[in-house]
Amino acid sequence: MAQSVLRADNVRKIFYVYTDPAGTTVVSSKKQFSLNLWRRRSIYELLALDDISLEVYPNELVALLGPSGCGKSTLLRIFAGLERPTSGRVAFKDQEIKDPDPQRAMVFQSERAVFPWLTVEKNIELGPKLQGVPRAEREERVRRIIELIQLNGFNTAYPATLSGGMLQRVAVGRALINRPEVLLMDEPFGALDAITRNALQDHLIRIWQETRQTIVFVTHDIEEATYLATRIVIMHPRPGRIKGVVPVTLSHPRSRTDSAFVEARRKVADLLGD
Amino acid sequence: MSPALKPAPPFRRLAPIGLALLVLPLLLTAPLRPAAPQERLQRTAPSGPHPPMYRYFHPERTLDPTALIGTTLLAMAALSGARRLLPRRVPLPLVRGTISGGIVLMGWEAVSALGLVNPVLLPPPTLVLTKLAVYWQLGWLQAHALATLWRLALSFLLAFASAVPLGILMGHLPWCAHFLEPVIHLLRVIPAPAWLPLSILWFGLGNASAIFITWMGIFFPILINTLAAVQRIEPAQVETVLTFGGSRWDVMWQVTLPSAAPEILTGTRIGLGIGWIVLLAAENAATLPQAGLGWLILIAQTWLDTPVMMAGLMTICAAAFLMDLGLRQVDKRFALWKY
Repeated sequence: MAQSVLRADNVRKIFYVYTDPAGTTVVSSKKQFSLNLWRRRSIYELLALDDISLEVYPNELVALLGPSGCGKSTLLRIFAGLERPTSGRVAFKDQEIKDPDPQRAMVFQSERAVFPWLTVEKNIELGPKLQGVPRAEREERVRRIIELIQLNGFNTAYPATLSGGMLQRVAVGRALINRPEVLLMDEPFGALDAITRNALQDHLIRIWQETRQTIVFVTHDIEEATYLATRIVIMHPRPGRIKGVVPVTLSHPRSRTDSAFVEARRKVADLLGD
Repeated sequence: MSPALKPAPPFRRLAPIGLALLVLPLLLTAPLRPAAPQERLQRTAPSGPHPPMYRYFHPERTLDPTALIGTTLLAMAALSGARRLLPRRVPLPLVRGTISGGIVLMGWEAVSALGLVNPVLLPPPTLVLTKLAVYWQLGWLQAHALATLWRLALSFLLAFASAVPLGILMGHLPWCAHFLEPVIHLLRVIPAPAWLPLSILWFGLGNASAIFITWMGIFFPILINTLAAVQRIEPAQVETVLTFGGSRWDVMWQVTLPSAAPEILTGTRIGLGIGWIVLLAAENAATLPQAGLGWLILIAQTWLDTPVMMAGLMTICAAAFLMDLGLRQVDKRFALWKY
């Protein structure tokens, strides 16, 4: 088998949850000690991820599937370099992941992650601009990305004038323009209505078929995972563990009413339900 | 649509009555209009509780009240009448605003002309405008206005340059905010002019003490707004810059400043409003010798020259209004994307 793009070995992630003297609950990666003798902070440890080992290979479309609170977003953020594992090792092409990197571009769930003060093309241009790509090449890349996400004519539109589905396409294009080795998507279509979500899933499949981009995405929707992924990693909560890995061998584009699809979905649902 | 359903435009119905009410003062004052210059002193009312020169027929006045009222009426009529004729319609708010402004101006002239108020205490606008023109031609008005604007600009620049970086620092570093917030909230509630006596002892009579208290007035609104904006930054936006290969410095330029800009502008608008208040209070308190609009108003008061006092107020009004108008235009650009 080919060399893995992302690799997690025995990853554990502990969050420290405590109430500060003001009474607010704070979740932190760091253990914080209180010198306040009058009112001890109640610290407890939340084991978000326990002994996760996972490998992602080139051109794969991997879905991390599980109920909310199972640590799937945390695992994705660890892959992105936004969080560090408490123990264990995460590697990107045999190099340990320490910091965020444009090679592992991230698409966030929040619609507000697309900068509202920049137009569509300026938003897409952000990554290359930060990396110091010359202007001429930047413009060329932006043009191609806008074609890929099919937002021609919206170049100078502000995000406030776009629909939720268009915004997520901008978010995907903005990540893809970095030419990442792997695209990490954190519930990208979670906040959308069903019709828009289906359309965007087809969009994503088209982009994936055109670019053969390695994608890892997080979802809590069984049908979405079955419809998109070539491999589904099923997780369960408290502590977050991998329950099973289901390869989906159906060819793209898939049909939601196809008997093989229904069978695959049932298999995933059964494994998730145990 | 049947005619019964069509509502009658209220303005059209009321227009003749309103126009009559506006023209009435004009007709009433017609026999009292100032005559030719050589006759003017003779027609001055001979007796009364006030010295003759402060009566409605002021010897220095060159502006005919009928000219003012006539021009105002003409502008109102032209705007409302030509509205439908112009290729690009005059916006309705402008027409209505001109009408209400005209009514206030003419009413002001009328109460003076009819002797309803003491013209020493409320000089008619024609006299005020005359004085304004005289002071403008002499160059005094510009000099005083420049003195005030220079102080305001310096205080504003100092306040902006200190409040924005501090606000960003406190927004990014919670411990820094914890240290500074109590101090800031305690100082913030002190009305800036209350510092004046102390600042005179610290900085002496002159520009420095006025600039200090004006800085105090402008600083806090900008700081509080910047801090609130920076604390509300969307984490996903910061993480986007970080995952795209940006540094902490890039986060500052790409996320912190743009997303806080509208609120910094709001703080600036509030701050400048307070700055005018504080600076004029300082100038009115005679801390600044020889120059400034506040000082002009103060000196005019000692001469009982109310038209000049009014002229000073009008100049402040114009300058402050233009400033706020400019900032509102900037704000309109933010409206394209503001949450």
